[in-house]
Amino acid sequence: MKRFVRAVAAVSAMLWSGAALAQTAPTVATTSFVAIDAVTVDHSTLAVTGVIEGEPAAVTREFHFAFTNYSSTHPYEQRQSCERLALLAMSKPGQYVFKVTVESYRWDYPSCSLARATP
Amino acid sequence: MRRVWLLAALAAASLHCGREDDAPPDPNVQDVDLDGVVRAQDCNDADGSRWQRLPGHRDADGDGVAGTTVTQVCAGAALPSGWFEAGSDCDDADPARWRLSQAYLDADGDGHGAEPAGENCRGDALPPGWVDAADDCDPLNTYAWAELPYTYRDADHDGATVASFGVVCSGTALPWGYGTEPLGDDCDDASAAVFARTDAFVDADRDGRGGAAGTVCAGVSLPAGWSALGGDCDDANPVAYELTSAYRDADGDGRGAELDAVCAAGPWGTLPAGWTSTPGDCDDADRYRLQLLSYYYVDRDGDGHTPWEYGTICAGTYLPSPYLSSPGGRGTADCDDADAAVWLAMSGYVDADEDGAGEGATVALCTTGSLPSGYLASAGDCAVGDATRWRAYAYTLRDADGDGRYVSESGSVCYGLAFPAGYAGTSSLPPDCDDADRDAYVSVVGYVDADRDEVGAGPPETFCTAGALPADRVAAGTDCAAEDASRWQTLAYAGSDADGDGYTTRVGGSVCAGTALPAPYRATIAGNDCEDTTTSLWRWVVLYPDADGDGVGAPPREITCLGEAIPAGYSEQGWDSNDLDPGVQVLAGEEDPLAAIEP
Repeated sequence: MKRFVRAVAAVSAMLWSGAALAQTAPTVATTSFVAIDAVTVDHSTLAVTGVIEGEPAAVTREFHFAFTNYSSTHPYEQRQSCERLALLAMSKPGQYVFKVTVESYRWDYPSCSLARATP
Repeated sequence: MRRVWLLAALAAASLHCGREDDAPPDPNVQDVDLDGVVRAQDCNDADGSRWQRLPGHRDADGDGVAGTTVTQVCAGAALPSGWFEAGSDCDDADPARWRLSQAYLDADGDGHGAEPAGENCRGDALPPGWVDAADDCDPLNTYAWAELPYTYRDADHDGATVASFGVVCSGTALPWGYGTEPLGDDCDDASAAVFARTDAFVDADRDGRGGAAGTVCAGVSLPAGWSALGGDCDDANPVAYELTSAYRDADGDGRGAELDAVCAAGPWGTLPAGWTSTPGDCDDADRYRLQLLSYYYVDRDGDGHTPWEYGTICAGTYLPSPYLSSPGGRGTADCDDADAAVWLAMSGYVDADEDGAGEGATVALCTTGSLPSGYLASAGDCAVGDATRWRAYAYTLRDADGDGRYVSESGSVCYGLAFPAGYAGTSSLPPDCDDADRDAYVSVVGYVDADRDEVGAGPPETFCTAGALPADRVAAGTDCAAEDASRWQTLAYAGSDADGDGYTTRVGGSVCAGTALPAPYRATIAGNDCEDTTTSLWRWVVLYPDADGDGVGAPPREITCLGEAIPAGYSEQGWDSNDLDPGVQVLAGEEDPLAAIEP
């Protein structure tokens, strides 16, 4: 548990480093994967295939990472962080919920989080 | 001579010696100079060459002739040198003169003397100023002494001679004015200024031009009264000598009219009275009218207004009144130059009804500067004969019913002091929908509200009213259920919860409703009800078979529609590495994935 909290904290620190730059309340779209079947990456895209919470079938969602003014983190590093969290979720089916949050005004800079399905 | 001196020395020595011995020597005995003559008788006992006194004439100037004065001279046997027994030197102080002779004074120094003769002390030659002959014909003229014959005279020394015979006292040659050869033929040898007979013209008036031809004795120039130029057309008038073209100036105004020839002082000289070189006298009988002057303006009535009029007039120096070369101070407008009271041409309109607006056609008027009473500058009286109305108002809006709302209507209305009601050019209000009814002026759209739910339906209808719709009409026409008073608006829904379990299916759409969405529609979704017909099932759950019942299943997963409970033999966890052994969930050697980020 302790390790989990630290992991979530570390990733959150990277993912939310640009949050201070937010100027208006974002419209947030969060995709929560309760089961991940595949993770595909290229240089700026993370494609996750899995079961989204509450859905009856697996789907594939693509998330794009690009340079942005809202974070000093390199978009590829951001994508790699998300990729690791997705792989963790895929390695322990049902243990974690992998969430990808995309804000409306910075859609090309998704933030990712990993949480235990049953805390 | 040397011997004389020796004897004298011996005598002196003898005297000296004796004086020492005894008494002084006896002059009657003593002969000092031993010349044989005692001292008492010797006129010079110191000089043995002289002992007696003889009468003699001294030749003081040494010219060999002694003077006439006799002097006793101490001498020897003869008179000493320089002395003569006889003397005739007439000037013993001048060795050049010693004798007297008759001579003639040459007063002018030309070598020739003249009477009278005079005695002259001279030598071989006469002293200067004297000559032996009295042949000077002009004793006082150095350059004339001999008479020479001449055959021509030039008495006036003008270089021209006349034949004349005679002699004249001359020098080596004939004096100036005499000659033996002719030089010309002096026609007047008494005047050096004239010497040749010359053809010329008598110039009686001394104007430089002669009249009658003649011959005159002249010199370098002609004498007064003669001229080399002839042709004097009036030799009695010194200021007229050449025929010149000029104009007769009968009136003496300096301008002539008729060109003619007149005897005058050349083409640029002064013309005689009655003539002029300036032509153009337009009236040679009137000295105050001499030239044609152009005029451009006329002021016949003398009112200072000078209308433009071009012409020429015979005048003096200046244009006579009323003609002018420049406009008067009051301008060039004078519509009536015969009437000083009026000058400005104006156009006006008759204002017969005296309402301040002219009427009818334009009337041309010659005025005093403003329109006379009864006339106006502007026309436009729209009501001739009606003093209460005179001006027209062009309107584009009309309010016939007086409700303050207008309709588009163009036209013109005649009015007076008060602005005509019911007419306008602009309006900030919407147009009148019925300008015949003062109670109807606003167009309103209404719908039939059959179910009286205040929302109508059907096609829109337009009503012209005072602002309100008819009682059976409403402004809104969106009633989705025209006959159902409980429903009148279409509401959107995002989900449906048919079984009322609080979870919706994801079906979006809209439905005709009243104040709120009717069941089972929901504006927002809640979950994803996998079975909306029963309240026990409401969610999709990913399950993993848990064969060993240790609470952690293993793939393959199943997605099942469930309610709250998880069916037996399944787990939401699917990571059991050995689902056949409830004691083993993680195989040995499997690394904890979180170890990678463990500090």
